[in-house]
Order: sequence, then C-alpha cells, then structure tokens
Amino acid sequence: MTNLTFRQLLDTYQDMVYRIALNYTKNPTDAQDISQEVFLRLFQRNADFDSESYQKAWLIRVTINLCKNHLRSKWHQIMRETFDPSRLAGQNQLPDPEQYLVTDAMKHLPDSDRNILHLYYYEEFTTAEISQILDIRETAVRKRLSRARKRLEKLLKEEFFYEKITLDTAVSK
Amino acid sequence: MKKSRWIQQYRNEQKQIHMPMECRMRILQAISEEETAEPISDSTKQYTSDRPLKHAKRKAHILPVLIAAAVAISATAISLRFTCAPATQPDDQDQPPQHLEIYVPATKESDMAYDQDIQELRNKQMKIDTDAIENDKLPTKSQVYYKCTHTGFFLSKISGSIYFSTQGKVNHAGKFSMDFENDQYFQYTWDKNIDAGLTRRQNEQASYFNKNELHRVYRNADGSIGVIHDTDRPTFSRFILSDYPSRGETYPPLETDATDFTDDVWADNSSLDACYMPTAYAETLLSDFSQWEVTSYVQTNSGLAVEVDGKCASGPFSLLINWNTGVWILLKVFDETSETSEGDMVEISFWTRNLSFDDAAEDVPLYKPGNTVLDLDPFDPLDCVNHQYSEEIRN
Repeated sequence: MTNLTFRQLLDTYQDMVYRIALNYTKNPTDAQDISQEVFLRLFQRNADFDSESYQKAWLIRVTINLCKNHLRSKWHQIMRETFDPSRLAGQNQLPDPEQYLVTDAMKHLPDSDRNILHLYYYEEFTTAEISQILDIRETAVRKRLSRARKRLEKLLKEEFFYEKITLDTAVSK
Repeated sequence: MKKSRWIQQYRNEQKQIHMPMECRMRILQAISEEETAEPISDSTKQYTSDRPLKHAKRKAHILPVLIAAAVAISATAISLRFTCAPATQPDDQDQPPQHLEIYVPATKESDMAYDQDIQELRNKQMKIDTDAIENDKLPTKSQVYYKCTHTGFFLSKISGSIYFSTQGKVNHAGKFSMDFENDQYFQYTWDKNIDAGLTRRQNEQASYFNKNELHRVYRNADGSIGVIHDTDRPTFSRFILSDYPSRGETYPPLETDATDFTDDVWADNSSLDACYMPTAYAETLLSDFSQWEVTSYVQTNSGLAVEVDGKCASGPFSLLINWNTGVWILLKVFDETSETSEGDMVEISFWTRNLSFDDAAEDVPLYKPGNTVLDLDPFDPLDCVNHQYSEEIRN
C-alpha cells in the first residue's frame, strides 16, 4: 500500500475507527492505541480489498476484535482492579455528559448492545451486514438491537433525563 | 425521548467526536517506521523498535512469501516447526494465511497411547527446508501447497500438505483439509510412500497420528482454529492463523492449554447449581460468541467442548466455559448414556471463579446458587440468558 493511499484511507476512516474504539473501551487513550494498531494492520495488509464496503467492514471487524482483546487483556484487568475508576474521573472520560447525553447513556449499556446500536444507527449498516461483521446470526443482531433500544430508552427516560432535569433545575435556581 | 430524537441526538454527538490529531500523527509516524524497517527474513522474528504508544505491541511480522508452520504439542511441548512453499493459486480471491501455527496441547500424559514416543517427539524440532523442495530432493508428492478459499467475508476452506523432517530429511508428510462451510472436518492423512521409509519408532509415531485421521474442527471467534483429535482421548490442537485474511486478525499463540485448569475445576462441584435446556439451544447460545464471550466451541459425538479466553476443556458429556470476566460455567449432558442430538437436554451449571457475585460485571448473566431450575423459553434462547437469568438473579 502506498503512503498516499494509506493517507486517503486514514482520512476517510480515522474518525470511524476511533469512535468505535472509544465506544468499546470508553477510554480515549485506549481508543487511540487501538486506532493506531488498526491502521498499522491496514498498512501491513498486503492484499487489496474487493470493495469499499469490504474494506470498511474489515476495519470495523479488526477494531472490534482489538477492543475485545484489549478488554480481556491482563493489562486491562489489572488496571481495572488496581485503580478505582472514580480516581481517574476527569482524566480519561468521554466528553462532557451534558453535551453527550445519548453517548453517555450508552456507556451504561453492555458492550455488545452499545456496539450494535452504534453500527446500526451511526454507521448505518443493515442487520445483515452487522451479522457478518460480528459473526453472529442476523436474528441475534435484531434481537440485540431491539433489546439495546429498550435498554437505552429506559435509561434515557428514567435516569439520565431525571438527572439532567434535576441538574438543569438546580442551575436555573 | 422519542426514538427518532435520540437517534438524531446520538448522530450529532458522534459527529463531534474525532480522532485527536496527536493520534493521527502517531499513526503516520508508526507507518513511517514501518516503511523504513528492515526486511524480515524469519517468520519468528519480532520487531524490536519501540512503538509510539506505550501500550501498543508489535506482532510477529510474517514473511509474505513463506508459510511458517509450527506444531507444538502440550505445554511441555512437542514442537514441530516447518516452513513450506506458498500456495500458487492465482484464482484465490485473498491471499492465504501467511503464518500457521499448530498448537497441540495434550490433556494428560497417561492418556497418550505412545507416551514414550510422544515424549521423544516433543523434544524434537523439525523443520522443512524449502530449498530441498525446490531442488526436487523430495518425492514428487512433496510439492507443498496451501490454499484458502473464501466465501464472502469469512474463510471457508483450507487445504494443503504438511511435511515434517528431521535434520533436513523428510520423514512425515500428510495432507489436511478444512471445510468450514460443510462438514467442518479436519482430515489428516499420512503419505504412505514417505512413511514406508521410516524407522520402527518413527512409524509408531506416525501410527499415533494416523489414529486421528478424522478430527473435529472448530473456528474460534478470535480467528484461530481449534481441533479436537479424538473424543476417546480428548486432545486439543490449536491452529493459529495469523494475518487471517478474511478476518484481518493477528493473534499470538495462547499461553494456556487444557491442562491448566481441569483438575481444580472438576475437583469440587459442591457449589454447582443446575438448570436444563435442550442441547440445540445451548448451541445457539454458545454460537452467539459476543454475547457469551465464548471464543470457541465444538459439538463432539459425545458432548460439547469449548474454549474461552485461551483455555479449553473437553471430555465426554461435558462443556466448560470461561467468561472473560472470570466466571466459569459447566455444561453437562443430562443423559450421559446417549449421544447428544437436537432436543437432548444438557445440564447447565454455573459457579464463579476468582470473582464474587458482587464483583461480576452487571451484564454477566450470573446464576445464583439455590438449586432453582429456571423456566427457560425454548423459543427465545437469548432471552433465556439475558433476561430470565438476570431477572432471577436480581429478583
């Protein structure tokens, strides 16, 4: 792959890869590490992609796999056990929850739910395409999508809206 | 909030998230280093230069022309390492895997039929000399090939020949094939012409492998391929296909094997609780990898075996799962006297390892002790896991 081609791909997909990694890891530093690894593998990959959609799917698949690897890595487990997440508050958090209401709510969903919601509603993949990317059955994708929607709606309806309204009220006073 | 509203809100939020420029620069720096890196002449050679990011690792770089294959049996390890010529299949849609490692951890020493021979075999390193192949020093059948076929996004078939040699002389050769679309069988047959020239001891070794001509193959969620040789004497093989082209993954060999945990897992089942579900549904659940975080599973003639997070277990009528959260699950075939088939019942037992219930992730469908048989909805296996279990727990 030429440097120029690679830069073009980087321009096209860098935000997509980073967003997926961030959604998965919930940590910008980890997301950056994973993004770098993804693009390094893209660069090292010798074969051309059959199509643009295959290329995009490949990148997403690699990103997700690297995220999973990272989350199950001993390093991550140790860090999670060693450090109280609350102590890290403000250091590596997602953007301000006040501005990122839905994104922040999604942090409270299981990884699989969050991932599918993102692929479906943001990347706008079909359930069949998600099924291929995640290597699960399409019925499972639809099932999870439905479940994830319900969970998210419940979160938005109850917890987050309540907190936001409470906070807004307090600020206005 | 209405669905359309939160979807739009989410899209707006996500559009504001961009890869930091610093990260982009690091990627370009890493690529720049990659371009200037010296050519790798050995498939096992690792990069030594530091990466820009502290957590990032360099994986083994794969020599694009050669397929390096290593066979390692058990933790105490037979290590058969061979390098063979590449596939020359112009019609291949994708390049074949450039690196193949065969990992064969045995379960127990006593299970081995040819214990002494195997032990000796373990101490040998065998290597194929590609020059010898090119110079036609080997029999005609020694032409090595390695072909991968892809259907759409995933690898569907692998076939090839494997040659083993000691001190430059080939003494074992065989063919293998994997068809993931159909039988999912791994077949390994030895080339009798070559085996005929073996010594008695070598023949015994070959016989050992000949007994396992038919294997079960399972594909792991991480892209690697696992094999169970023989359900009578369960022995695991693990094939690591690095740079797995259809999945774009590179995974190092696992550090653990089946011998790591079987004893203490099986030692005490006093804390087990059980519920029941048809095997077919258990399979459905298990195949739903990302839901259960099971990295692999296989249906054997007499039961199920799975591998998760680098650890595997098998055996007649048993299934062992390790969540990446540290939770273990045991499935036992309910009726141990018959082969499982669709509709059969398996006993599912859960207990924790290393984690208390309170420590476990919220979304892990833990099942509390209490000898409760859950009323599972057979038509909704996902709900069986995610709702009914968790509802039981939380209630």
